Amino acid sequence: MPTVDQAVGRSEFDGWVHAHTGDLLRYARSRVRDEAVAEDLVQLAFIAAWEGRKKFAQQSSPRTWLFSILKNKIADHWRKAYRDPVVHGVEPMDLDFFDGDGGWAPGHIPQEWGLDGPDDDEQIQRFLADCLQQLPAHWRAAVEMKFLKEKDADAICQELGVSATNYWQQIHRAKVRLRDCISTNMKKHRH
Amino acid sequence: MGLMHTLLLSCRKAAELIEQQSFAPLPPGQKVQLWMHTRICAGCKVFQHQNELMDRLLEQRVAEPLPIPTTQLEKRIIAAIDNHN
Repeated sequence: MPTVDQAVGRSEFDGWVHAHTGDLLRYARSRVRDEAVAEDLVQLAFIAAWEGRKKFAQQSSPRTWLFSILKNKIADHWRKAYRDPVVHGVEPMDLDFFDGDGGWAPGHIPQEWGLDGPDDDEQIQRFLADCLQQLPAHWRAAVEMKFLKEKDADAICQELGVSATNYWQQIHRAKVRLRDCISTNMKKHRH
Repeated sequence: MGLMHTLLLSCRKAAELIEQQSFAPLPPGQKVQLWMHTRICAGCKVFQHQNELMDRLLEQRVAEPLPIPTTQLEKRIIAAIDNHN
């Protein structure tokens, strides 16, 4: 059992800062919109870790522990963004990807991306990252909350104050748009 | 398309169910409708595959493979902890 006496000391903790800031920052940058926000979240995570150092169980690795704190900070960030979308700009109009009969609208019918190599995977990763940046803030928030996987969907809905139906419908709309955006980029890329 | 939409969902509905499915199992009737829809509709079949691929990529997303210089940030964090005490 870890006791107060075994809590991590300051020099050891500084070692963690040097060892893990890079990986934590890269992770944060892939999951929030602004680089400055990513840096702030990493800093907040380290401060929370320092405050909670007595709770750090020696059996888990510092890296795993720091990542779980960072994920909570990222979730806090998106929860705030979700509740206050106005701050993050005006919601762009929802493009309709379907026609009046509920079929795919011309120009938006899903077509194969024609993936055939490891380079294509990287290409899609890059397009995905770009397209995520273009999502309205609170759609992105809904998507990010889902993929942080720190909590189950019911818990997320409760925190965001939405019904389960609204929550998955938002994620659905966001992903329809993401998919369309990736396809558009892919077409441009191939020509 | 009219009859197909009535019996086997519209593409709009099918796409919705594809996402809904990742949260909770669909009622058996809708599950069959969706399965049949994606057998017939090439667009929704592609949509389903790409949606799954996106889920995988969204989960595994790793930022730029290149290391980012973090010396400044490390200093800032350590200073913040100093101030915090």
